[in-house]
Amino acid sequence: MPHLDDAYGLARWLTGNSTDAEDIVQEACLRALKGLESYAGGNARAWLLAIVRNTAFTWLARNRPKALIASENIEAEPVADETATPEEALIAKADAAALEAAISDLRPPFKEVLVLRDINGCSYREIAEITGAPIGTVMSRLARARSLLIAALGRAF
Amino acid sequence: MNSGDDMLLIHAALDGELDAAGMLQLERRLAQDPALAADYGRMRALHEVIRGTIAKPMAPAALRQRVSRLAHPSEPRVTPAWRAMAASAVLAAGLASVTTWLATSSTQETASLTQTLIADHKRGLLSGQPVDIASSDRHTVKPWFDSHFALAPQVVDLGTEGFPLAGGRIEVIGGQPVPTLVYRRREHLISLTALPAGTLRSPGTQTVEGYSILGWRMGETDYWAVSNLDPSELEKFRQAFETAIKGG
Repeated sequence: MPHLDDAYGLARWLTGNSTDAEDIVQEACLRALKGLESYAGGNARAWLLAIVRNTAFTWLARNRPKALIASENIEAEPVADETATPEEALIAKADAAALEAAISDLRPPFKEVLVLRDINGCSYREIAEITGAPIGTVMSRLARARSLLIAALGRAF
Repeated sequence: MNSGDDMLLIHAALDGELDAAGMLQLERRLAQDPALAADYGRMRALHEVIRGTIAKPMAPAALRQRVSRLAHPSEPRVTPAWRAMAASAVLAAGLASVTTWLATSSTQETASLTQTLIADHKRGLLSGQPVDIASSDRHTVKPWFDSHFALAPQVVDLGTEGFPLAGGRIEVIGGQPVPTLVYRRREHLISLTALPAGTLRSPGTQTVEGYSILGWRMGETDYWAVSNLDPSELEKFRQAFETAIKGG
């Protein structure tokens, strides 16, 4: 099964847990195999990641209902402290632990675009395909995710 | 921090999504605008530090094996018999947990149906993507459902009653794809799932996990509305929906 690292990486970031990520990827692969007939060609990685993503969100909704705050309109929500602007040199010195903690704290819609872009190396177009969000939404969520990370790093120093 | 489109351009440049002309234009702007250049520097630093410190996770070997067994179940096994048996026991255990998980969504018991409906509603909210098709125009939503279902639900707009249509999505309940309409009430969403009649045990509103859920039957269809609205508002929604369906 190609793209398994990508699939596992996305599931692990979304759940924050490697055991759960393995279950999700296995379940997603089962679904992918069942759905092979409906696969119309095109980007196989994006297709698989879309299934992983949906499986992960279904899993989160069932198993972590309390840990996650559902939002009616996440784009419109104000976020405190987003304007913190630590110096460039400080950001460059951020260590892996602080960075990982900051990414883990992002809400799922922001986390997934950031992980897909900066860790899996997907293009905007692929992310739009995977998440089902319009490309403008992908871009604004990514910008928002990175501002939130910078603000979190600013607080961590 | 600069706002709006300038920031989007900065990100697009860092992500290699700008063409040469766009890049040239941005470089000129950066040269003239110190505030924008500072934002660009911060984002570039973040970009590089993520790239340098966060490793892409690798799928564990055991997972790789499990998945490749799923993909090639008939592959001849050269492993000794006891190892093959142990491996298939592990795979069976894995499959069993998946099956149990799927079974919870396929049980037609009302209790777990309501939980499934609530989980689906929450999933829409969590993923930031409550609808597969976003439109307040029922003439867009209805044909979209028609293209996915033999018997598409009636789509009515309740904007004048204070419940504007937000769009539609497809849920899988009991292994079957089912249509779900999404309406708005102020900042809240209402998921309205239409199921073939027979899922309803006791009509009326229940409150489960902080969500209101209301089931009712109209003709051959059971409607299930889920929201974190107050039950009385959900009841108002039901009345508005019924009136609109009967009138239209």
